[in-house]
Amino acid sequence: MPDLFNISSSALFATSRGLSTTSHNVANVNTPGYSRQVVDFATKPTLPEGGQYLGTGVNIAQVRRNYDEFLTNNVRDTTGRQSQTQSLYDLATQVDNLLADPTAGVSPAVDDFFKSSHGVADDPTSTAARQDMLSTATTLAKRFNIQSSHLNDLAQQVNSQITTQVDEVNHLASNIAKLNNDIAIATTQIAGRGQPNDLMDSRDEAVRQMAEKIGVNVLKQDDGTFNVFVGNGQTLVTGTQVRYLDVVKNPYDGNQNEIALGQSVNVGSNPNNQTSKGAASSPNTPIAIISGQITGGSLGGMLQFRREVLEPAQNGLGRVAAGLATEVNQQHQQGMDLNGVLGGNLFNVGTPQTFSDTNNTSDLQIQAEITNASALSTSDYQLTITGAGYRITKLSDGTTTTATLTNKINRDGTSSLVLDPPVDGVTLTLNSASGSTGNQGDSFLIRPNRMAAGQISVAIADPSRLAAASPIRAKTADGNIGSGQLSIDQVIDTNNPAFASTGTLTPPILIRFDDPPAAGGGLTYSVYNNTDPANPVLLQDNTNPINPVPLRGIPYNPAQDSAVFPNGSVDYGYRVTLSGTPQPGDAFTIDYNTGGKGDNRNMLALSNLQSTPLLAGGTTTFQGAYGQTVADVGTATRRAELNNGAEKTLLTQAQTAQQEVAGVNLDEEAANLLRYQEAYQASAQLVATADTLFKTILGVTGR
Amino acid sequence: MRISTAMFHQQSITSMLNAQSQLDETQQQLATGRRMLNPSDDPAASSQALSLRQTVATTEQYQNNADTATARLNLEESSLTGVGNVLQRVRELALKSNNADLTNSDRHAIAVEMRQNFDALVGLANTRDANGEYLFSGYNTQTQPFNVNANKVSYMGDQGSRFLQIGESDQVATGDSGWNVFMNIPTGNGNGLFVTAPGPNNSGSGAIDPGTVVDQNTWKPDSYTISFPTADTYEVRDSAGGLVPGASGAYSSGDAIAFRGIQTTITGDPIVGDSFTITSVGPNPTNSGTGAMNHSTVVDSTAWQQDIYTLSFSSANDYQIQDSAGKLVGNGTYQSGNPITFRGIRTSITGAPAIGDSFVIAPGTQQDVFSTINTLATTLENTSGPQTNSTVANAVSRAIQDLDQAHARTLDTRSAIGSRLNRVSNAKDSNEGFSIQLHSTLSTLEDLDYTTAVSTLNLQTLGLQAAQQAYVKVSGLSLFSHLG
Repeated sequence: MPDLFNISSSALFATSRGLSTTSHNVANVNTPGYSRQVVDFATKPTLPEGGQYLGTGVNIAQVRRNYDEFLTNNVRDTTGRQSQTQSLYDLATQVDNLLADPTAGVSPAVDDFFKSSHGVADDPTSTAARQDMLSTATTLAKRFNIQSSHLNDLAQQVNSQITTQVDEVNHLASNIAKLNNDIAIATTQIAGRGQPNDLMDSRDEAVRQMAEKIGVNVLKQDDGTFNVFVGNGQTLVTGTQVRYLDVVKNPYDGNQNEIALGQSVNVGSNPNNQTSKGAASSPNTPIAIISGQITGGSLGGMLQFRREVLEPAQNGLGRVAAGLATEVNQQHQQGMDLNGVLGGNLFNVGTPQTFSDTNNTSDLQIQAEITNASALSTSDYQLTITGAGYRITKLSDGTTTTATLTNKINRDGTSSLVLDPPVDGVTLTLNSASGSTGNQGDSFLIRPNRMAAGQISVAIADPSRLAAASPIRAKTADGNIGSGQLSIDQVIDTNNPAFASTGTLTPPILIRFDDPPAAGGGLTYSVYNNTDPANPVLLQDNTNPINPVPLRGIPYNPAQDSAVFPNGSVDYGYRVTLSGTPQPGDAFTIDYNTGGKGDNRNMLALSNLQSTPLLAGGTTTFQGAYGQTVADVGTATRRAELNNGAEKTLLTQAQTAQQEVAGVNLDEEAANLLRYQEAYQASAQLVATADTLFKTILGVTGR
Repeated sequence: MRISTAMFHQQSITSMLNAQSQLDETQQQLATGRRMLNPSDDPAASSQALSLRQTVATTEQYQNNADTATARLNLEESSLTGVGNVLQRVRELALKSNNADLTNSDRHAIAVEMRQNFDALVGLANTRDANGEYLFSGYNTQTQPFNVNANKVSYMGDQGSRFLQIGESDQVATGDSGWNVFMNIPTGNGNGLFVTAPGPNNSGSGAIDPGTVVDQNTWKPDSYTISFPTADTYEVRDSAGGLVPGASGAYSSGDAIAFRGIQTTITGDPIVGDSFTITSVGPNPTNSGTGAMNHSTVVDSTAWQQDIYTLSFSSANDYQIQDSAGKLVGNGTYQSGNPITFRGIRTSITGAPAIGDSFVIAPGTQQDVFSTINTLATTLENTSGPQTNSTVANAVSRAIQDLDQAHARTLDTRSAIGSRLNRVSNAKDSNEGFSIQLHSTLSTLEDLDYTTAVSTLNLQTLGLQAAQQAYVKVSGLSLFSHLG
């Protein structure tokens, strides 16, 4: 017969377990990752007696945690995604804020610069106007520099955060391996003793924390251990084995940190033997960089930010700087300053960055030069030497082109090997001390615009060096009868030998309408070298050196304007047009614009660059391109914000669902407390009753 | 549904934080008055706003340029008004001097005043603007354009004129070169086909003007003489002495005499025996050789003197040049196509002229206004004797024509300035309108709608308050508080 004492003591024992589990729940109400534990009660085995089965009391079947694997995994996955969008959004917001102020950005500085150039065009001899233009040019360059340095700071911030976060991931990986070890021991060696609930909660929480840093996949093993993978299935934790992540330098650009797989260590029961500097310090281990494959977590967000927001913004800003400097310089070079000297560069802007892969086997270096600002893109390029030739990959969209080597004759007579065709406005020149043209497998990274905004500066300090005038002028000869006009359209190339000697045109030109006209009826003209005005010499087209053609008797049609140059080989780097109705004998001359201090033609042309669509293949203005960059950053930030909002909602839903199962509700615990308390009191009453019964028996027998 | 206590607290806090950050954004919008605080708030609009700001800035600059252009054009306009007045005065003086009753000293006095006006004109032509730049020196704005040396004026500037940008694709000239305004002025008939001259022995007061071409196709090169059989009739004969058909008639001072596609006017009172010649420029029609004369130009304006020159061949290889008075001014050995230079004129003859062939050289279809005044003043100063009246009358007639050409050039320039000012003013108006429109578009893009923002702020404040109160109330509801 079951013993009342045994039954009541089992009840006391069970309810006190219930009470202590409830207290454990209340105590851990705020513990992250904690799952509510419940005590499963069960009846003790029954005793058959007299054909009846009599109960023997209560037993504790198990103390289990309220846990749903699917919901917990869901929380971990959404945490990884939300953490990525959060980190992307936080970083993108910084760029967004940087570009936000409409009165302090690059665009108003561009406005001011061109305003002041108009000021010089209005009054070319005013030193004040020229000084103003130099100072607005300096402000513009500084504005580019400042924005660029802010963006570089962000790049550095990403670099250092990558290091910190990788350290934390490694630390968590060690923890997980250690917990794997403990859990395996707990479940296998002390079999049948229930689950180590708190250890499993800790491990789940460690994995979840890791998902905040980096996107992870988890595979649960039969022995209860977790295998953790990152990226494209790169193993981070296998049982007690940890393959640490490592921070290494980008093989092209040493200023950029990348994530690589490092040394593998068996953590076992000691999480302190973590080393994360294995692979990088060991030259024989090939470094496997996995930055490109990492998604999820704040690391994923940072890498995405660097790839999709920061680098395009740096390149976009750089393209505006490089484009503006190149175009303004080109126009400025076509002018003449107050001293009668040809204009030089107004802005200094460095050459594009090129990097050789540290694993290259030849000493070949690549030099890049912007030769056509309008063709510039905002992408970086990779040049790889393959069996088929020089393959150039545009990194923004992955398109490839193949270039061939050509020999280019430089202005000074030397020759150099360049790749043909140029890459989106950038000419690549091969440079090797040993004369190598590179080995197969060598690769190079070319960043046409990355540093331009940081490097731009003003090249001249003397206001009189601003080239407001055009270096040539046309003159209608005294005594012309007709209404013919010679107008100068533009100076194209001041490197032409015609401008080789300062202060003179080599040669000055005389254009005279033949009197009488050459055979054929209509007006004709001839073009002379006017170095000696008393004795002009006919110019010759030497396209065919054996049979030069004198520029004589060229037909002129008054009904349409007629361009004088180029005529065959005769090209002096400028374009002039004859128009109107001249008479035979009328003459025009072209000279150096000596004394032309009041001339503003070149500055007017320079001022008009502002509203001319010159960038992106002639589709947008400087400020349009800048606006495009601002809009791109804005769009990326906006997208990150929206995604982050959505991910936050998903995360909240996942957490709510998970907490619905695993969370502690204090009201519920209070009710349980009351319930177990009552049960405990009742059990205690059972003991008292048993005692009374026992005493009754003692009393009866004792009489 | 179970709610975990920790989750309940966390969610309440999150929702309050969200409400706070929304409130903060609305507050910032209200404080700055901007709808978009960051480009990400509306990327498309912020990029559009950037380009609108650029257009606003350039439009403002066009307005500044237009103001500068207006100031410069007004200054030029007022200088040219002065020039017009001077020319008008010189013309009056010229007319006044053409009076048979005047004595030599009267004419000298007029010449003195004329020279004063000459100086005034040089002064006006050397006008500088507020920046000290010469108005009429082309691009050489820091070089004094007009230098006087022994009453001859030389031009040191060039032919450029400065343009300013007053609209997107609208450039306006803000000046005219002195070459254009004062120097390159057509003289006489300005056509280079023929020249008119009074006979050397005229004693009446008749004067001939330089004539104009009416119909170039009916013009027949020759040397024509207009003579007066009586004081009231005239007749025109060609070089062979034949009467030109339809070209004779009754003379009345100032009437047009037209024949063979040209027209000229004789004024004053010629007497019987006076004559005027109209000589075609170029080869004499009676030449028998194949020589052809090229266009003649003035290459040295200081050495040049207005006159009719005759180049004749004494042998197939020798030529000589005489002025209208028969004075030898140059000779040389002929070679086809070689330049022939004399008295600042350059010409050339090609082909094979025969002995006795001659060519009339009368270049200089342009003359500067200073020379016009100087020539007339010099004539007034130096002329005396029996033929004074006729000489003065012819000089005045020529000078008036030239002065009128100069005056017309001034007026043309002024009317060009007027139309430029008009364009500038139109451009300013349209820029102004454009600017207003731009600002309004920019405002729609960027500016905050205060009514909406304030009501949003109120709503958000209310929401936050409610969330806070609800949190306090609900979080106080714990079963534990009822235990014990």
